[in-house]
Amino acid sequence: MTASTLVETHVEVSDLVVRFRRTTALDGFDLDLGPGVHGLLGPNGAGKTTLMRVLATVAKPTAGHVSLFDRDLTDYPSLRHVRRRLGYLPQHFGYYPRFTMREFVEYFAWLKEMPAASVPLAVERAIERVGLSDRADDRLRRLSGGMVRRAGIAQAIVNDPDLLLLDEPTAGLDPEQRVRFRGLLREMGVDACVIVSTHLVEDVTAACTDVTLVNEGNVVFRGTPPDLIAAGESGGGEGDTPIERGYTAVLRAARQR
Amino acid sequence: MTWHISDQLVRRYVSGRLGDADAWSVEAHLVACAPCQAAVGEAVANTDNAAVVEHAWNATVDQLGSQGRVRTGTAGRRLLVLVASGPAARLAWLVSIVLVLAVAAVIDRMGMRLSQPVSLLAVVAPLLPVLGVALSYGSGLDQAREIIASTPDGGLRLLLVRTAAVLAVTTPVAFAAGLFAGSLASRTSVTWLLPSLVLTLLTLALGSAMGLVRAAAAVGGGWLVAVIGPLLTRDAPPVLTPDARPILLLLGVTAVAVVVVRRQSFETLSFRLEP
Amino acid sequence: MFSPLLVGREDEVRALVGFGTGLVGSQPKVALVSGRGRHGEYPPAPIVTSDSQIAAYDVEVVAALRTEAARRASLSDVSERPPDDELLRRIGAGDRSAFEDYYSRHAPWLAVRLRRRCGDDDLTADVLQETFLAVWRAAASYSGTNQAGGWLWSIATRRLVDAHRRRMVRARAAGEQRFGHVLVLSAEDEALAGSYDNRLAAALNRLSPELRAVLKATVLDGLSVREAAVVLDVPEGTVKSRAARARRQLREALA
Repeated sequence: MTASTLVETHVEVSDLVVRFRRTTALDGFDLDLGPGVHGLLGPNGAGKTTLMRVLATVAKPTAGHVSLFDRDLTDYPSLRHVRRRLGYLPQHFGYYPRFTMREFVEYFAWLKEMPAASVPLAVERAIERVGLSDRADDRLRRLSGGMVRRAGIAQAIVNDPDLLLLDEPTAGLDPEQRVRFRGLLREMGVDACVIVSTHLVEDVTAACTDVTLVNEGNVVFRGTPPDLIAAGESGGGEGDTPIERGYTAVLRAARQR
Repeated sequence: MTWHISDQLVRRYVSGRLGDADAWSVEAHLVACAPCQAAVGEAVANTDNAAVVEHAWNATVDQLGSQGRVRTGTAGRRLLVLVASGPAARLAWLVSIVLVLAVAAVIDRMGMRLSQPVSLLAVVAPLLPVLGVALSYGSGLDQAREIIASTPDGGLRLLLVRTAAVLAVTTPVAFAAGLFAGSLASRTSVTWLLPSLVLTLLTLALGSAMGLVRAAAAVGGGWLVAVIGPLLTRDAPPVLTPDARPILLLLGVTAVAVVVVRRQSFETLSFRLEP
Repeated sequence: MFSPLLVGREDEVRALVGFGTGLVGSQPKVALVSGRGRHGEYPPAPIVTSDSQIAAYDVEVVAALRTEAARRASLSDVSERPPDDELLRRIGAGDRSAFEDYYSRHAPWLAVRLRRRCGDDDLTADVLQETFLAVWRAAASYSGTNQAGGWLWSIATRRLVDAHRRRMVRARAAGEQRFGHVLVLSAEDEALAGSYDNRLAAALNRLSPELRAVLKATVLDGLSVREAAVVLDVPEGTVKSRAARARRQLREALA
């Protein structure tokens, strides 16, 4: 049973353009994703974060069409419906230092309009899944950076989202935590669309079923990690691992166009 | 309960020899019936499932750590959590409001003897909720704003909850300060209430167009000009007179209409920085 | 010998099979139990049909039912011990012996029910353990009245779906394309067909196993369509169409 047929979750982006003042962050971006774990790679400033923000309905597109779960985001009820089924963790996120981890996750469970009676159990489960049950009642300011990030991941998954957007989620996690986190991603990818934006190429090979490489607001590669590795072999890229070579080869080819 | 599961059914169910339709009703019944749960418990003791139950118990006991501080999920809890994240729940905010209003009240009381033309309290009190709103949802000042913006409740609804919480704090304190300011009471204790509300609403309305921090600055600045300007020419500020009240009311109602019409603008953030 | 009645809330049955008021003529008001309440409530406890409603039955059947009920209800140790709500309150306060009592009351029936949905003992033990650990940690959040069983089952279903997801991940990593799901069937339903015409039970039995499995997952177990897709290893669209077909066939059988 392949992932793409199990669940209908759908992210559809066509010709997306996002401009701020004079910079064009995304220039005619296309994307079509179903369930599974999808990697988003690219250099800084390539437009990955902007894409994540648009998908998280946090930023408005300048032009183009975005449809999540077969809904346009143009009217308020659709927007709210989509947001209830979303999970988002931006690259830089603030938190309230006085809050305990449990209260932090609970706060977002409420904001996501989860049914009242289910909130305590869902919060407990989310904290369990990121492996922080024993620190759940410590204040966030007492926790290390990696733990705060895991708390952020917990709030993103508390409502069992159909679309999970994670921007650089492994920053600050040690290798053991990263392995555990990838396991969580794979588990969620069974029946949800998980998009992970990262510049850590190893994250991609280990957990993602497909990769999209972004450069200067455009897609320059779309395929599986083995495809990217193959591109490295034929394109003569530089790097210490096969996938790094694929990454640099594709980027170089894109810049020469 | 008018019926329970017979012993024979229990045995068949527990040994896996019951068809779907019958097992359906057994399972539906078992969820809520203690005597039948006990009967199943007895029957299970003689089957393979007993080992499963035992094994799971041992594994569970090994991992029983501390319990968390879990609270029940109710609408009241929701309100509490949403309010606790905003500035209204911070001690520093409360202390600073009290201080500011106390100082204004003291000055008014002293100024009474100097027949000062305007009450400092009436000028200052309406600005405090405006400041509170700016702190609530200002860009960069709500640290988790980017995640909040991706939630269904994180836009106007959260803003309104926090605004209400800010007003709920500033209004009683200002009222108390007004009473303390003494015989200027006819001028101070409620002259500021209507401007308070109207300025807050104006901040929200303008905030839908220019961002809340700028709107707060604009509204606050406008208020100060409206009050201090006439003072320079030795007149009493018209804004503080009873004649101004209908105009203020009209402004307030317009502001509400603007907020309602432009409510979708509160739902996304605008990013002026790097992509 | 009689076949058990399917009991539940009439309004939910009507919603399920699309009947109007008044269910099946002079038949007792039998109904399917709905697994999930609205607004995230714990699954509603089934309401047993009243005496008058089963009066249509054979007098003997009714007498047998009454005796059984009286016998069961008279189990003195059951009626004298603290109710579940009280136990959960104590567990929430950290009482380990209350937790042990709670476990011995509920683990057996939960184990049997889970075992019928999991393929094997190991998975059942895992889900059982995770469920009760969650109970230990989150008992203080229980705020219902007499809904302890449904609350427990709603915790168990989430863990069951998680366990199935992990299984699928392992299966895919090992390159298996299909994760076979074992349906527990009985060859003996014939013997239990009662001496009266329980049309709903008969109609349910006549559904194909796949349709019945979908209905069981979404109605009895209270899984969402997406969760049912994971547990049954069947596409979401298929879950929806099978549920619709099952309802249609039931409606036709009962019309």
